[in-house]
Formats: sequence, C-alpha cells, structure tokens
Amino acid sequence: MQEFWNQMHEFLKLMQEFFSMSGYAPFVWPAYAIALGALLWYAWQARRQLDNAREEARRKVAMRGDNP
Amino acid sequence: MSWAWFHRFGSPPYFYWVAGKIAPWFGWPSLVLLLIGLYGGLVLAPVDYFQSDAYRIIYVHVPASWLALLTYSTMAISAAIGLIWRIKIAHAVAVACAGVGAGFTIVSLATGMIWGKPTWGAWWAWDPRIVSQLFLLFFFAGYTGLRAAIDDTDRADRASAVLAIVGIVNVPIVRYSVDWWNSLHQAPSVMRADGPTISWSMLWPLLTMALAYTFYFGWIMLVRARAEVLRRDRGSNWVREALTNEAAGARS
Amino acid sequence: MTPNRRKRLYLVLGIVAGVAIAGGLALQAFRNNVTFFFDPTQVVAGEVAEGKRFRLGGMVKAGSVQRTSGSLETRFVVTDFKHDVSVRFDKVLPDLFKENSGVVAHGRIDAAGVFVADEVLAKHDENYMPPEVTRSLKRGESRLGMDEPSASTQSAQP
Repeated sequence: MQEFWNQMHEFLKLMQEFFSMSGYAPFVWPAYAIALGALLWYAWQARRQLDNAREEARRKVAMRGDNP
Repeated sequence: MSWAWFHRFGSPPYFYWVAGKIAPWFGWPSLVLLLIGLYGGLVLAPVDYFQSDAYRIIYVHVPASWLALLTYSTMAISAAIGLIWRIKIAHAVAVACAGVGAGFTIVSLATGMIWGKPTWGAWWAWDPRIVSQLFLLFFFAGYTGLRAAIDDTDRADRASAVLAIVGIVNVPIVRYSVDWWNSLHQAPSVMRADGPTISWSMLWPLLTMALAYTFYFGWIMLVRARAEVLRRDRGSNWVREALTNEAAGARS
Repeated sequence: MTPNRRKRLYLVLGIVAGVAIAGGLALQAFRNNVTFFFDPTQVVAGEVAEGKRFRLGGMVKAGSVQRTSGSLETRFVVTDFKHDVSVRFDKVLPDLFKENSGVVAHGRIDAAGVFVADEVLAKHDENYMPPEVTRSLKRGESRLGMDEPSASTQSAQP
C-alpha cells in the first residue's frame, strides 16, 4: 500500500512538472488552446456550411416539385 | 499536354463528387498527425537551452503561419485561374480559402504575441515580419469584405480576384522580411539554404504538425468548396441529381 | 489559348508586376522606417538623425553588463562585432536578456554619447537545441561554433 502511494506521489509530481512548463504555463497553454480551438471551430463551421448548403438546395428542389 | 483533366475539374458536378471522395483522405490523416505532433512537441521534445519550455509555442505558431501563406497563395492562384479561364470552381476554391486563411493568420498573430511576452518582453512590436503578417490578414478580410459588398456572384468573383492577385505581392515580403530588414523576429529555423538550425529531436514534431495542418487545410478547403459550389448552383439539375444520389447512398 | 484568355493572362501578370515594382520602390524609399532597429555600425556611420529616438539592436557584449547596487540601473554594451555602443537602462530587463545574445533597445543618444534606453527587448535567434548539446558545444566537442559571433544571430545585414 505504501508503495502504491509513493508511486502515485511520483506520478502526480511528474504531471505537475509537465503542466507547469517550467513556469511558462500561463503562455504555453493559452497558445495551444487558441490554436486547437481555432482548428475545431473552423472544422465545425465547415461541416455546418456544407449541411446548410445541402438543406437549402433540397428546399429549392422541393419548391420545383420533384422530391429527391 | 492535354488539358482535359483541367476542364473536367472545372465541371461543378465532377468537382462536387471528387471533392467529396477525397476529403476524408485529408481529414483523417490530419487528425492522426496532429495527435502525434502534439505528443511529440509537448512530451517527447526536450526543453530548449535558451527559451526553456516557452519555445514549445513554436509547434502551434509556425504551422499556423506557414498555412496562412499557403492558403493565401492557393486563394490568389485560384482566383487568377478563375479570372483568366472563367472557371467558376476556381472562384469557389478561392472563397473556400479566404475564411479559413484569415483564421490561420489570426492564430499565427495571437500565438506569436503570447510567445513574444515571455521571450522578447513585449506582446507586440512593429516589426517587419509582424506588420507584413498583419497585412496578410487585411488582404483576407478585404477579399471577404469586398465579396460581401457585391450582390452579383460573377461580379464579386472578378472584383475580389483582382484584390487577391494584388495581395500575392505581400507573400514573399512576409517570408523574406526577416532577411531584408533588421527585425526583432528571429530568422527562419527550418526553411533555410544551409539546413535547419533546430535539433532533430525538436524538428520532427514541428514537421509533423506542419503536415497535419496542411492536410487539415486540404480537408477544410474541399468541404468549404463543396458547400460553395452547392450554394452557387442550387436549383440546377446536377444538384438535384447529386442530392438524390446522396440520399440513395445514405439509405443503402 | 484563346486571344481573350491570353489578354486576361497578360493583364494579371501586368497587375502583379506593377504592384511588385511599386511596392519594391516604396519599401526602398522608406527603408529606414521599415527596419525595426539600427545596428551599431549604422549608428556610428551617422545613419540616425542626431537627437532622434530610435531602436538600437545587436548583441550584448560579453562581460559588459554592470548592475548598480541599490537601483535597477544597468549599463551594458551593444555590439555587432564591428562597432560598440554603450547603453544605460533603469527598468526591469526581460528574462532572456543575457550576455552574448540579441537585444533591441529603444531610446536616444545623450550628450555624453551613451544610448539611454526606456525599453529593452530580448531578441532570441533561430537556434533551438537541448541544453546537453550546448554544454558539449561549449566544451568544444562539435563543429558548430555557438560562441562564435555567428552571422545568423546578427540577422545578417545584406
């Protein structure tokens, strides 16, 4: 049991060290958040645009009478 | 040389179909490369002797900056092809580039500012590299703004294409700004005649991230261009057929 | 190519060439405004108008940093390995301000010929490597001379 807690403690210390980024955490993590957030947002927006364009095209076709 | 393939791509139904087929071949590799690159950059790459862990911002800053230039070049060349050969697909591709290119440029500037504070000691400097990158953003915004101001799609295509072509002159200025003038921004670490000045253990995650971003651009450009093509040709016969086929494909 | 397409192609190439030439001339004319800093050689050569505020850039000369006890005032020498300029600064320096590394100071030259800075930024170069590599380089185990005034860190004057 003692062994387990020691290992746990070591692990948490490593994680803390990783997340602190030698004290540059307030700069490194926001930069990654902005970059990855932008990738996700633009991906979501592109999918939505395609869905909207399909929806609108379907409406146009339906207005003409023949249903796809 | 036969130009048949070139004209085939100019046909909206063919483009819509082929773009839908190849888009996943860009999307999924991009995701895999991104995960490898992030792990490599954040965990495997060693700290830098000078900037310690602050340098890790390079793994999101540099790919975004490269992609901003790649996206602008793609947009301007597509717009020029559209203008000269009167190919509508080329204009649709240029439109697809504009929005996401502005995004890459903003990410490049924002992550650059965040990097500048702990290393240079300032969020912003009126440095030639930074100012020329800001101009790139203005050209992207100008392209989108000009299109929004013109209702007729054909006229918007032509007017915005001229703006995109004018702005291509800024691309080499961004790239060579750090060589031509004294600047606060560092000189290139990777794309240089005498080879990279960055250790391989730090370079491979950077190249992986750059490749991930490039595939991401390929994917998002195809998806956005498909949406743009549908929007332009809504109500046409080929769109009706394409949608019917898609609906049949979804049912089976 | 049809004549119309050819005409439009030449038009596009003409636009690009025209804008490139106009832009090149403009950048050449405003060269001193485009550049972010002047190096010591340019300052010694009198390229900067007297009494004008400007940015001075170069390397912090090894062994030149003097701190005054009891105040923030720091004196150091900025060099481009051809000419030197003495600098005085009385605010907090950035973390990456180090001897033998790049710096850009904003201020003006006083009557005594000392550059009085009100802002100092650290300029890092394009070299990235793990700390072990620099240590072995310092011991002279590699061909890469990091202690040399490598031309690259000087953002090369063309």
